[in-house]
Amino acid sequence: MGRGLVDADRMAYRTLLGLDETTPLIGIFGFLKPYKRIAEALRAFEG
Amino acid sequence: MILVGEVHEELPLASLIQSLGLSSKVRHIDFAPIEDFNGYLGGCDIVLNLRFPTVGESSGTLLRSLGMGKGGDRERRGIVPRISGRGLPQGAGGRDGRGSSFRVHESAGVASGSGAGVGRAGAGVGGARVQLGFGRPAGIWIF
Repeated sequence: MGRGLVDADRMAYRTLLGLDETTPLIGIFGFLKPYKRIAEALRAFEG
Repeated sequence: MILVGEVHEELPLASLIQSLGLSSKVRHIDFAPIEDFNGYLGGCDIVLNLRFPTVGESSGTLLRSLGMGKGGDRERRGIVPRISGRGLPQGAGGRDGRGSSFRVHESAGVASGSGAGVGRAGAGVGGARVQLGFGRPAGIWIF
């Protein structure tokens, strides 16, 4: 029983985004609801 | 930063990104099929899951990120800041005037963490010590 782990290619989707290997990429995933503190996360990166 | 998923009607995401001056740094990708979801997840250095309030439920995204070798999960004082990452350059980070901050302190190679799968982090460009605060008591995560 169970499910295998996903072995994702780090660069494949970074390339789609136009990012090289060294550019830090931070992600938030799922249904983007207010209680997931999306706004707070964004404010952490405000100029 | 990428945000992958549908936007709840009570979250004015587009205007928020614009008002914070982050349009050139943040990209919203709407609902993504599972192949794309995993692809974007695999491309990230850090995955945030800052659900609050919480009743201690698990996070599917966190479990997926753990499975990809991006370990890390910390609960403290009823807050569940979750972060996983690898390979961030020292000095990366940001902050605002209300106590939110994010900082990579040093390269740490493959380091300890509360999550399984951190041993695979060395396949990237090394781990990093990351401190993350969102105006509330938080913690330090080492990857």
